[in-house]
Amino acid sequence: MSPRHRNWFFPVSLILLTLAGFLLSVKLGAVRMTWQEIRAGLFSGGQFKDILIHLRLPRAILAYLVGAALALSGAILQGYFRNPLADPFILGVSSGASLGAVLSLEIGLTWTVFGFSSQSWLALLTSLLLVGSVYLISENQSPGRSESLLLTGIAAGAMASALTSFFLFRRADAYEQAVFWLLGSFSLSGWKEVWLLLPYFLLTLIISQYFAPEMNLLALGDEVAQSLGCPVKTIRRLFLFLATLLASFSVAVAGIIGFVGLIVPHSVRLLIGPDHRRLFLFSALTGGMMLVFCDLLARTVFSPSEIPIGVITAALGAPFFIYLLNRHQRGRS
Amino acid sequence: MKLLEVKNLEAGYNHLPVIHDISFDLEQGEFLAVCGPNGSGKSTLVKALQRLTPFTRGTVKLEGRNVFRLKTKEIAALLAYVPQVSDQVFDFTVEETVAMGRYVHQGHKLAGQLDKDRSEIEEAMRLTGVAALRQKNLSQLSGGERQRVLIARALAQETPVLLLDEPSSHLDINFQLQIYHLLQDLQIEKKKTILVAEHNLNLCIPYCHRLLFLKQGRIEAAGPPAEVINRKVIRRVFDLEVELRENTSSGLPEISFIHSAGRTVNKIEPGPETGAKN
Repeated sequence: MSPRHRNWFFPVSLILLTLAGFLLSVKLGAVRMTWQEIRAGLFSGGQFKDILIHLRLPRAILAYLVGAALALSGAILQGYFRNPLADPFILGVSSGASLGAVLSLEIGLTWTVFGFSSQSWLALLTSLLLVGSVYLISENQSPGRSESLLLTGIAAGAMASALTSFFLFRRADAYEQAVFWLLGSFSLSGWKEVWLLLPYFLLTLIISQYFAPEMNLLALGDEVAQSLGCPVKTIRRLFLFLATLLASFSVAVAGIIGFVGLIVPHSVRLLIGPDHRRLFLFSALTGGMMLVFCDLLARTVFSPSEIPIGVITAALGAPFFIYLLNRHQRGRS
Repeated sequence: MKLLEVKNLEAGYNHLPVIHDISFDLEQGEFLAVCGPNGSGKSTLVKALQRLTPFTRGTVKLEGRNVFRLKTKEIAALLAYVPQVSDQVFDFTVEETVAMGRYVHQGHKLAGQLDKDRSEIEEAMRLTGVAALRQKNLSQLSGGERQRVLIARALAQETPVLLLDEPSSHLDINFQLQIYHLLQDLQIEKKKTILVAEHNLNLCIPYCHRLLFLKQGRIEAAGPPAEVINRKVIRRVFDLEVELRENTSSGLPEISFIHSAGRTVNKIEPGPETGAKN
């Protein structure tokens, strides 16, 4: 086995950082409390029970889940397109979702179903609808060509973004709500978002892990994958479906949080290699950890006001990513 | 009984057939080279046998079973395909790459890698001489080493037939010869049946039992090298006048270019004895 299999440093630091992230997330915030008060609030119900159980804890858990979901979705799509620059939003999930949210504001929908606003529902539906039609159009044109899927996705995404901008331009008062969608936020999140995302995320993680050997074959190219015995078409459809739904759910609960789904799988690949049997799991774990910290920063840096989390992920993620790429290039030559 | 029987094979992309009416058969342990001009369908033929082209018609029978009626995984257990070396986006190690050849034999996934898988992977790396490179990434290897890794992966697949798509392309002359020596060893020691698409005639002539010449997707000539390597066939297939000479080590015919009159070429001028010989 190669040295990177024996590398314990990465998993151990991942666990420690994740624990630290969760502890800091319940500790820090507008209301100050001591560790004793936190322990009491979480386990035996003190004066801070409500803040801890209904605000900070679900928010940290949701941030973790969304980060994990986006990173897993990105890892799947990077393998799917054999392109380390693919991200969960590459097929138009994000543009579709923001169009849905803005559309809901524009026509003034105010209903709520299962505790979720019309904006969340419309965001979910339009993003799925957009990716679905992108898939059908490209399959119709040139079946099985991922280049065609990619280009159709980019075109459809651009069209949806144009419409979103048009509606935003017409209604200046929708701006604040629109920012929630365009840059992401966990400011409104609670347990119901967690329960929506959790089962679907776990299911996807298990299925992806199970079919990771097939994804390894797909990464070699469709012809080679098939020649090695991989049922290429079925596996491709499965992974596209899983990744799209994962990204759409994430956007529906937390808005568009960019960059996590791009840099996390890419960085993890540089650290532990391209084998998807490890890459899927570790991307999810790293993405979750990273977003817990980003959300912590988003709500504490300018406390009591919050920065959109998308600003933090890009501002922190981009330099780190460039550092990692540089180090990797130097390590090679 | 013949191991591989191909009858009226037609295959191509976007419903445009590239090869037509291909029929031939192979016995176990036979070494066949498919040659022909660029675009004549060599690669398409190699791919079509494994049903890798978007459409295929006709029949390919292996051990009496119709390959086109089998599932992807069943085909991969009978025919292994060695693609041309190309850059990979995701940089797997040599060992990881060879291990992927075992996919077709891995039954229940949760069972993991069995002793049998391990020993086949080791054997494949040993035969191709890449065991010492196991922890290197593919991008760190030379073209010749990468080609051998891809052959190792195909060996790990444990199939009776190996299909290779221009295994000598992009290799220097030393590596080219190495690959053919390796293929011949596999054919003799492992009784592998080998089919290569090859553009370098002089390279494959001494190692293959038979040659199949394609032209515009159809078989133009077929037979043992001693029979089909002649000026008439080369003229028909390549539209090129050549001279034949005898290779001193194999005794087989070899292609020698004719450099047309009036063209400036480097020549050893007949002159004083002292000249070029030193």
